Amino acid sequence: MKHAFRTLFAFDQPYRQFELLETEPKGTPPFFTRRKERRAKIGHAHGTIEKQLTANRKWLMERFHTEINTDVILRSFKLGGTVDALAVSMNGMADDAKIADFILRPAFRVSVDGVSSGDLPAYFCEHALSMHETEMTDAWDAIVSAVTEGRTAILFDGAKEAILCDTRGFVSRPVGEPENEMTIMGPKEAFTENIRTNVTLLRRILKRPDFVCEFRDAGGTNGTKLVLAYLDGTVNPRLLSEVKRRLDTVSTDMRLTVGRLEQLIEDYSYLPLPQMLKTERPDRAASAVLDGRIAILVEGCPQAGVLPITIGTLLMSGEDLDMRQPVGTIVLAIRMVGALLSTYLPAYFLALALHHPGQLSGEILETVVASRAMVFLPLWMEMIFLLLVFQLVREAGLRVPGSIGHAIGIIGGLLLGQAAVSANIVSTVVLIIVALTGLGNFAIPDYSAQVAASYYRVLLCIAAALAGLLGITVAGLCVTAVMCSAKSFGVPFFAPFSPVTRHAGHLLFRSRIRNRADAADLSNPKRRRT
Amino acid sequence: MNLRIGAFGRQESAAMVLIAAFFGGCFGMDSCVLHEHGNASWIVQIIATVQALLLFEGTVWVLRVRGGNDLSALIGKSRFKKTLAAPLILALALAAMQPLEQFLFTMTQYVFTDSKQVTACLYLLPSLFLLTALGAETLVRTARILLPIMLLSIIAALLSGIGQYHLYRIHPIPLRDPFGIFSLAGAAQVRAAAPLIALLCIGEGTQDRMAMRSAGRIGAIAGGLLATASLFALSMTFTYTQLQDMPSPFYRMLVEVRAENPTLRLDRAVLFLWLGGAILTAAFYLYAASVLFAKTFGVRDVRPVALCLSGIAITLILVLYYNSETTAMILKMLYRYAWVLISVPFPLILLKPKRRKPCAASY
Repeated sequence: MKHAFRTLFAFDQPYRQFELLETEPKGTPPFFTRRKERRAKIGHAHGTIEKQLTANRKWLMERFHTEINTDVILRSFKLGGTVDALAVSMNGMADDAKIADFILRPAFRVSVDGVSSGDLPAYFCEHALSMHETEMTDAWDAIVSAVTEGRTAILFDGAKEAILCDTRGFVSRPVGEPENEMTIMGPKEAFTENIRTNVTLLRRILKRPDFVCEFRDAGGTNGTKLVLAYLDGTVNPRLLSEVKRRLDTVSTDMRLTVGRLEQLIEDYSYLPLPQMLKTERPDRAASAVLDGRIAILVEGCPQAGVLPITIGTLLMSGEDLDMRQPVGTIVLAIRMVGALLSTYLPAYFLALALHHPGQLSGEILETVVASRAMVFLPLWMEMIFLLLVFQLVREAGLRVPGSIGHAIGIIGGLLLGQAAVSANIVSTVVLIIVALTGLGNFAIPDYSAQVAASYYRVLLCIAAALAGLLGITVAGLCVTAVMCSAKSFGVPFFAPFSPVTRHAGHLLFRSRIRNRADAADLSNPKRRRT
Repeated sequence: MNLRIGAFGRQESAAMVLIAAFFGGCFGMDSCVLHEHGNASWIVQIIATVQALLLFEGTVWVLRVRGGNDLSALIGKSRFKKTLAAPLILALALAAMQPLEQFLFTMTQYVFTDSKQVTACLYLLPSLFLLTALGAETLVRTARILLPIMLLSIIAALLSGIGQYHLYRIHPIPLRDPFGIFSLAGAAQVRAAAPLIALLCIGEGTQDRMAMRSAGRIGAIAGGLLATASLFALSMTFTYTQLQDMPSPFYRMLVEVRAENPTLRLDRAVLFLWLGGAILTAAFYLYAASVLFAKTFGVRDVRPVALCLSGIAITLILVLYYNSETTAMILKMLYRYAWVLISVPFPLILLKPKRRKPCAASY
């Protein structure tokens, strides 16, 4: 009997793991027209260097426009007093002291008698150059890219190869505290604009040999670098190759940031919700990497992009797991309620007040009517107007320096609200509803998700104003269905709830922290939690 | 082919079948016929669920024997069997129309009393279009997300009405006429079997046949039980004479609860939550019918078919309200005898095709 019941109602049988990544074959016939091919990649290769130093020097002068671009330093010198050589660097990006102490000084002292021209770069590297990181190349693209990022290229007359030395020494912001993802518990470090520093911040947390930081060109002619950080042996190899394939398609002259990169490689451009988590906290990025996800760091961007994500990732904060289980569960529940209030409360109120007043008790209805007695705007217009004002105050508060931003929030919230009620532009009940909505919105930890919730809120308000609860039902169902159809790099947005995976996460109820040596199975990692 | 079936697990498909079975069972019934001689609705629901399960198990068994993952594998390339797919598509479309029609009637009767049906239909159409165009994966995942809320609302509605239940109201149980009961169960068969037929149509998206069978079983049994419990609760709330003339008895039950507890003014919120379930159910059936059509007749993209079927279903619902009595009567007759659309073609589809002997080589 027990066995029969287990067989009948068992979801836990060891079925083969459901593959979450996209498996649709390419070339699916479209409905109307075939999608246009992506435009050809910008930029092209420039070939290799010449043996004659004068020709190389001329090429570099033309390429870097040295007659007007005085940042580029072409320093000629005699190697060992006999061979013509050239050191190319970028002023301000390269450290002058490093060039003088570790390149030029040994170059003057070294003896190159009896060394053939072709062997000069290797000989110089082995016998004179006292630098840790060097690289030999003959490609102009590599040389140009290296010089622009602060390295120094050394070219020799008669040699077909150049040496690239790491002399980077530009000024960068020190590691500070996170400004947008503040927590009470946990680390207080934030990413900076320097990609090397960011990698170091991650490496300080993930001290393991399988943590890989893969440096790549971001694409385009700008030469921006990005880093793919993941745990080799844990991350799903199909996910990794899919991310690399998408990154290969990036070819833009735009300045890249994590947000822009996300839009270039995502699936659903018109979905308001983000498909990549943008975090400024190294600990959060490291936790995601430990869970089998991939972090992307972009040069010049003080955030890491984490992918794939789910709705749970957007609703969880960095310190949730630092709290004790009962407290954490309550905090999560409050956050869920806040997110729901933020999205549905104004629309529900509009629907009840405009179309179904019978659902409100007499007392509430009287209060609503009394508070709106002198207000000249229709209720739906009043609600949307106040929601827009709320967004306005919020945006104004965000774009100004800290203390003034707080002041704008207080002025907007208190003075403007009070004045608007006194002037009979808005009613107190609607003001309370919008204030509750705003508080609920701030309970959502991710900024992009907050903005997406605002978008859905206005959409639902319009639907509610048009058709009451019918409008909310239809719009809500459409929104839910679109979110259910969305995937972040092959992982459904509502995983692990729909589809259900073995590890249900900590979203609804904070589960106990246990010892573990594997990753959550959202993206089918190699080391999967069972 | 762009059928947009995707891939989904057992819990999602079971959730979709459960929701469809519940809404088909509770909101597709003809109250007048079912309560003609007593409170027969819940008995009919049990029999119809058993019948549907037998049909489903039989089909899965044939699929296992013959190899194949969905209904189109059984239809194959035979022209005769392709013709038999047409009544099944019609049956699914009718099953989609029934709950929508009930909700539309409830809305215009009790909620938007000044509105016309066509206005309400205008709101339903975009969601139906979107859901059917997004495909099976989206439908079942949405069902899985909505299932806890739906279950909570149904169970809360049933529990909150406990004060209204009186066992004497289920009398008389019309068991003296087994033929009548079975004929009513036949009429309910389309509503009970439609979720499972729809699952069979999109079986390609499930992990394998066993996963499909398990999901179908769980969904149909749980949905059938829930629908039976709800109908039983309905029978205990109203007498069969009251139910004969009562449009939208479930909404009336909610209103009765509200009358008892004025603080619980959630009847309309619950009604519209259930409307979401009905739209999802209708979209599921219409999408499955579209997939069956596309696979059988070789249409490369399912979306145009799905959009057309959704439009036709809504138009037919409107015809019920606006057009002549004759058309409405034909549609009502179709609802009543829709079981023929399943009972006749299904056994014929399950028949093994006769293999032609290879022609002797002639030189």
